[in-house]
Amino acid sequence: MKQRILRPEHIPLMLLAALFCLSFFFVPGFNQSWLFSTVLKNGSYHGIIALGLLPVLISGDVDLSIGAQMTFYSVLCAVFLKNGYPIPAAVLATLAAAVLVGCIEGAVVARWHFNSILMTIAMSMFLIGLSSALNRGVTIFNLPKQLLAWGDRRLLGVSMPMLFWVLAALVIAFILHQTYWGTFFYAVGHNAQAADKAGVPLLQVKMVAFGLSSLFCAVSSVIYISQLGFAPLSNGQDTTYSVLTIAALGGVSFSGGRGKVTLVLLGGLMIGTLTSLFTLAEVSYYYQNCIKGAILFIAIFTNFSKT
Amino acid sequence: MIHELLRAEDLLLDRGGASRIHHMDFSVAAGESVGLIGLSGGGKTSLAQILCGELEADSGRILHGGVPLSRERLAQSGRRISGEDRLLENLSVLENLMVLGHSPRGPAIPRKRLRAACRELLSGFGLEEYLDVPVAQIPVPVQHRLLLAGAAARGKRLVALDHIADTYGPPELERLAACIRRLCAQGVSVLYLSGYLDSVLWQLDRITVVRDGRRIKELPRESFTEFSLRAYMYGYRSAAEEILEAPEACQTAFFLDGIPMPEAGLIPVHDADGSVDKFLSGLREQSGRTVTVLTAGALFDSWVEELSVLDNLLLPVAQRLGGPGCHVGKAMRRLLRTECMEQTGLSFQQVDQPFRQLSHMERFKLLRYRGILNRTDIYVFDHITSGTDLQDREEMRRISGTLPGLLFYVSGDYRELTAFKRKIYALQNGCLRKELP
Repeated sequence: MKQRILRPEHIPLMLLAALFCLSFFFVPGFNQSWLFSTVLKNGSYHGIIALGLLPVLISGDVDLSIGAQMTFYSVLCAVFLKNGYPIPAAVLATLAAAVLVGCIEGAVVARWHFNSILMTIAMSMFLIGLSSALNRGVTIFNLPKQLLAWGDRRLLGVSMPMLFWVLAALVIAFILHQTYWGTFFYAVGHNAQAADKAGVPLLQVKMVAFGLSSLFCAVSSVIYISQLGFAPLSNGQDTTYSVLTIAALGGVSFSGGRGKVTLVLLGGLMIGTLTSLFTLAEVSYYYQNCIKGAILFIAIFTNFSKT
Repeated sequence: MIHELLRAEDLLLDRGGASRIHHMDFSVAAGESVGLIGLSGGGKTSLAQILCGELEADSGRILHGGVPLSRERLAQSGRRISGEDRLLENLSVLENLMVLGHSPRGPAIPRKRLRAACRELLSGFGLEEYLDVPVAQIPVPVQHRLLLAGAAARGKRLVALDHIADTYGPPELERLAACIRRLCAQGVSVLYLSGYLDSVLWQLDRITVVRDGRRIKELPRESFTEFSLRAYMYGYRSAAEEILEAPEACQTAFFLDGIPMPEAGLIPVHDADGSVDKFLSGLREQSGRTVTVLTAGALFDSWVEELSVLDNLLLPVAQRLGGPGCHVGKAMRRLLRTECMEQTGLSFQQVDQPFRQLSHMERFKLLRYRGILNRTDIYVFDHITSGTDLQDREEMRRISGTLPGLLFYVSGDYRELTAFKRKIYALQNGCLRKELP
């Protein structure tokens, strides 16, 4: 079979690559080296979540609660730290809470055949409410100094967010391609009924997929607050939209069964670049979202034209 | 010791038509609940009518403690409740019960005390919420319960429920069963007549199957299954039961001549009567073994078409074969690949191709191989050859003859089955109808 190099789902990425090159030469200040590390750092939070979301998308579901989850885990971790928990304990407790939330989502979706979109919307409303209850509607400032110090650490000249981004990609790639869970995700995404008949444990598959998504969300949140030094208050919609844009740019099929780690990694990189570019070129925040929306549209359009 | 309420000996009734009973013996103990099942015209209602004194038998006698009972005595102690019974529609439930429970020959009871007693009785039958509701406004199952309460109030010793539950839903059946238990606890004997195998039957002490006016079988609670009941009702034993209940018969039937392949052909008498499904559920229910059913549709709808052949085969066994870290190692994949190539005759490249590129025949071979991977005990090929040409059919039959385990080959085509040279059974209504030559 002839392998096509230029596939429709690669078009958005190529467009962005072209944009990147053009900006490099024509936007003043874009070719400075410090900018790259900013770009990478900027894209990493959403990049990590998008990678975690990959198993969910591949198995044919959508998790719209990621934004709310990110807010919730930031607040939860901050509350633990404020209450005097040592950092490792607080982080571990947050990760455990994340796995629990994900498993609940997955179990409900699989057990009662709920639509994952509605289920995760319900979950995000619940989590937003819970986070507001936890922080009483105010931003939690003055997190421990050690956390910030940990966040500022560098390993071989690579900053923490970037390091975790690469690590996340490796972990997800390993799960998808080296373990049988990866095969299960793809099988369920392609044809859940056939997978069920073949003996794939649907309940466990969905629980693992949603659990992974939540876990990566929590990892991203912890890194986020370690960089900022406070737990911001938002309803997380921006996060959800950006992450889904990254996934769409990475050629992930929203009806399940298709998605590659490398492309999602590149998608995250591109969105990070674009955001930095907008800031540099002083594009208004409102127009930024317009342009992002248009990009998402193009990405989905090319995805659909393939199927 | 349970005290015997009634013993009917050698009952005979011949009125022509459906009401016919041939020399039937029947007995019921006090406080016992007995199911009376059988096809329409089998003599259930006639028997109940005789026991409740509504009909007089042509010959035979009914004894209580060795003393024959007259029809009037039976009518006093028995009550048959059927769908035709009517209540006083404009009166409330409580008022109805006061009327129903009033015995004309009994001593007069003050109205107030009667009301209190009726109230208590109604709450026992789950009717407390309907006390003041006119009967016209309550659902039919509740009316039936009211009739039951009435029979209890009258001090009846035997209550026959004549097909009243035919239109009940599961919760209503559950409530009726509770009422039956309550009556039995008070020492009342209950006959439950039904032409269907509904859930109430499973809560009775014993079931009597009648057919053509004869008592066919008495089954105590521990020993009846849906399939045995159905087999006695229809007059032939369930094929699944016959095959599984007698292991020796199974051996002679399926392990002939030292040939390792046990097999049997099954041919449904009518394709659309659901016999195959009934047979299969019987097989599953009774054997407790893994039964894999392979239909023609399974060739297409039980595979993930976009995954490779190897990945598809991995799905059912991954968790079993996978090592630590949820990882299916290279060695395991290689083993599976080699075995798959041996068992199915696919080439090395084909194993890595997406499933959608496989032909009908290759799919069949893989289906068979997956059955082996799943450690199937009993295979059922259900019309697997439909939609294939003659050559493929021949091949499929040959391949299915090499499976380890018990094999049933279901087909509507008699000629196809004769090629097996094994036993062939015709199936009807989930039961073994006839062994074909």
